Amino acid sequence: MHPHNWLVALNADTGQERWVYKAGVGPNSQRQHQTCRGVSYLPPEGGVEGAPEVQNIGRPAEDQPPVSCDAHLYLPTADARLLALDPETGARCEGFAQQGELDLMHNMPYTQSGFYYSTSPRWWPTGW
Amino acid sequence: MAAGDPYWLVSVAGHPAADTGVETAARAAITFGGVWALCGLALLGSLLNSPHTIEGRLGEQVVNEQPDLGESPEADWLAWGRSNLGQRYSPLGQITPDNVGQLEEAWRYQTGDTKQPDDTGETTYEATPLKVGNTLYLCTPITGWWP
Repeated sequence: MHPHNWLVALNADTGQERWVYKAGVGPNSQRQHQTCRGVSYLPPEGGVEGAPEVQNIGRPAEDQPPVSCDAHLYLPTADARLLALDPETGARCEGFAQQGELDLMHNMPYTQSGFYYSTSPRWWPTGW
Repeated sequence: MAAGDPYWLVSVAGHPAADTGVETAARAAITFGGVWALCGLALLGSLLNSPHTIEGRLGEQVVNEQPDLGESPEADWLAWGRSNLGQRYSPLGQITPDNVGQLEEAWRYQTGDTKQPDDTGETTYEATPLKVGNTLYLCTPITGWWP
């Protein structure tokens, strides 16, 4: 199986991978779209200028235990989850929803797989 | 002419029903040709005539020297449309229409997240990466990366 919905952090100068988070979304022919248009970024409390250096993580970012996050990255998945990740290491943010994972199907009346999911980045009206 | 005869249209147009086959066919051809000609004229007229179009020209004078570009630092792209204002506009000025032709590939990255046989047909690469400081963040599926 080749799961989709990865979040990749690259060195902008060299294109080198810093870390990769694989959200483990399997294929589903019921989905109309299999795509991801982007992720969202919430700057740290002290402003984006004070953001710590992004680390080079040698192993799959999804294997790391959840951490406490200052800045957040938000990844929508094709299986109707919203993941919050630490921009520094790619680890899930323990303070967001269920250990970094928000189930977008919660309380939805129709839960048939592939019928609802998100392909677009979230938008934050305040907090910048 | 019998009921159900295909030339009943010609009869409705006012010609006697007792024409010979050849005359009836000729009249049918004229009628159909006339209808097609009318349709053609209407089509041509609608192509050349656009009642909802408003002609105009965007002004080129600078209205605001220092527009609000949102809270994203100049060199960063912190949201899908660069900032929360979603303007998709970068204020950086090093690359210009004059020198853009001199750009060369700096690097290329392949994520490896490719469309699989059991994926839905509409599996596409549509990601806009974010840039925070010296790091790019992008999500997949993606089949290639062009800097």
